[in-house]
Amino acid sequence: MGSLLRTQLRLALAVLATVLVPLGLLPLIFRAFPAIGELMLGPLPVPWLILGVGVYPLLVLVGWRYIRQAERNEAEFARIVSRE
Amino acid sequence: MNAGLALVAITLTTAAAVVIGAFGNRLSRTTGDFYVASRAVSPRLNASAIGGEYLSAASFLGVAGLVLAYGVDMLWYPVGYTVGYLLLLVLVAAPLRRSGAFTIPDFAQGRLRSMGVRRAASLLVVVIGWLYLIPQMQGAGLTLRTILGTPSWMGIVVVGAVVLVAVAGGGMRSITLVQAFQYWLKLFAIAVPVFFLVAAWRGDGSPAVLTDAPAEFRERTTVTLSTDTLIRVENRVVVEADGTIDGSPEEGALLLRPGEYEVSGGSTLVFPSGAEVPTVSSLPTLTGAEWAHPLSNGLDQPLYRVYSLMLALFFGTMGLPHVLVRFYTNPDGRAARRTTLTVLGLVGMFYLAPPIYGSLGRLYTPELLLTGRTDAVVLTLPGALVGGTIGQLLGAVVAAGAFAAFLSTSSGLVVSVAGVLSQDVLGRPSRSPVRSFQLATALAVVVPVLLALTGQRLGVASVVGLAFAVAASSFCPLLLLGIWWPRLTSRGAIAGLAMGGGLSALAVLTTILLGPTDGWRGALLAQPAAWTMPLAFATMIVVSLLTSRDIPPGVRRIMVRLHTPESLDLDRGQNLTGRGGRWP
Repeated sequence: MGSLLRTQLRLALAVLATVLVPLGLLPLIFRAFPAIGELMLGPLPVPWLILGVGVYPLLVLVGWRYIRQAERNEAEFARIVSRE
Repeated sequence: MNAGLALVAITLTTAAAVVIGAFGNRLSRTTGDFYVASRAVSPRLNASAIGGEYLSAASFLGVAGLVLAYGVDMLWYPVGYTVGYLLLLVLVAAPLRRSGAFTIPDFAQGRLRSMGVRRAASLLVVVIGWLYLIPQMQGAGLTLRTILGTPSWMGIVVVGAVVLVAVAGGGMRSITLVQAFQYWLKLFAIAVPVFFLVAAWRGDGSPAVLTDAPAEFRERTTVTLSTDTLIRVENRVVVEADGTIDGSPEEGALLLRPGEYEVSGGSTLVFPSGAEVPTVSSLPTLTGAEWAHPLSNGLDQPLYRVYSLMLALFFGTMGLPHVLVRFYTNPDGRAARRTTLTVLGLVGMFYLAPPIYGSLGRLYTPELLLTGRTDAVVLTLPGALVGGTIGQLLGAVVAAGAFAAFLSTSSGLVVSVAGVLSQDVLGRPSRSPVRSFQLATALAVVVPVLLALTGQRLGVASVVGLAFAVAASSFCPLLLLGIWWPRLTSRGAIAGLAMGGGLSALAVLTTILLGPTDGWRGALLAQPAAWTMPLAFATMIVVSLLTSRDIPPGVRRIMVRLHTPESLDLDRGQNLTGRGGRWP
């Protein structure tokens, strides 16, 4: 049991790291390089593009991959248990 | 805006909610139906319902209002609301569903085998629920006032009454259908006008939002201030005044020099085309560049505020009572995960729209910066920018969407608060649990209505942010440690809830009752999560380690139950609450 708990927790933390680390660094990056605020991509400034649009498909993608992996972990655990 | 058209749209929304609710009512007869729709709701319907419940006045009106007033930093609000869902998915969704409990107090009691934890959690559900309900009610007041010119209390009382009837009459089953319907109504109401708004903006020659000057009136504009307002003028401007300014009656041309002016309620100011917009003293005057660039929003300690807000929203979502109760309507842990993923998509899609309203509002409804009613931008922009019959129709559509937002979030919150009140406060009379639930519903509605009628007027999204901060500092550590850390004890949990929930609630109440303050003190009180959340975690962990003899017996079995798929035939023990047998 401990093994499933640890695997799932490790997966959860890995997913969190891929999302929270880049998002958490963003304000610091904005503070360190104010020039980013001036950067335009088409009609929109880059910070608006990241926070207003770009974040959302990324979050869905990460969520989708997490579900696949979590279910794989559970199936693996189920196989081990039923073999015993 | 055409008041008649908007009134019809609002009435239709409300009637639809009540009718679908009444239809569902025929199907719900037992207590189980009332609370969690007997757990027979498909992931897709459930996801729409969660989206419908989650997108509140803060999302529909508040985000655009904050963007109009403060600029790009406010985009962290919708990002935070969405990331919060991802965290919920990754850390909480499946184990919580497998716990078999159906409220947070149930979970707390079952996991820690303690009535004390249950009581502490119940108290917090009520506090967070009421805190979240206040801005919903105030948003309703603002909407009716913007559309019909009725006094603010009217909208508050109307939404309160509708929610009371809908929830007391139908419970969760009907609410699930109503909520799902309202998600799609809200998405339609906020997204369709965007196409017309952008087309009208392009037709106007795509004027730049990002300029080096503060917002200005694009045409001669008449502004009527309905209440006494302190305004700040940065550049001299000649207006036509009709009313009382700084205590003396004024009529005709008036020169306003840089400085602050007290404009009495009922006064009218006419600004010439191209004049800079004076700002209400509670909002900063920002140039287009300051507004568009990160961390220059005119608030003290912007970097601290952004990080604290991120923590509150990212980690607060999982602790919102009306969000959690929805997970018990999934048939199993796997469905709970799938539901959450769908919600992520639905919610993210919705949040593409509000920043567009906020940005275009700076060009076409800048007078809201003067009146301070920035939360009304979504409601007024279609009429101001598109105009004509189409503008009026779009105005009616957004008004209906806003009402859907108040109704759905309020009823979801009221179901959760009433559930806790009827079980843990009013007791559970075996004769008539349904009657007790209805009594609790009345209590759950009346208290926030009274608070909304008397409270300070803060931004809708800001007050909702405060509710998130309390949730992140109390239920987040309880859930995370409860699910992932076998050594949590009841005394540790109670100490952590008291420390985090107590301090954050105190900070939040100070801000709501006394209004925002300046400097570090103001930042720490207005965004408390960055210090209250770590404190809550630390308290829970340290006290649990000190009271490790209290670790409930059978914790291993509980952990198995939380983390293994339902399909596995394991010794899962009793349902966490000991009443699992009643549910199919």
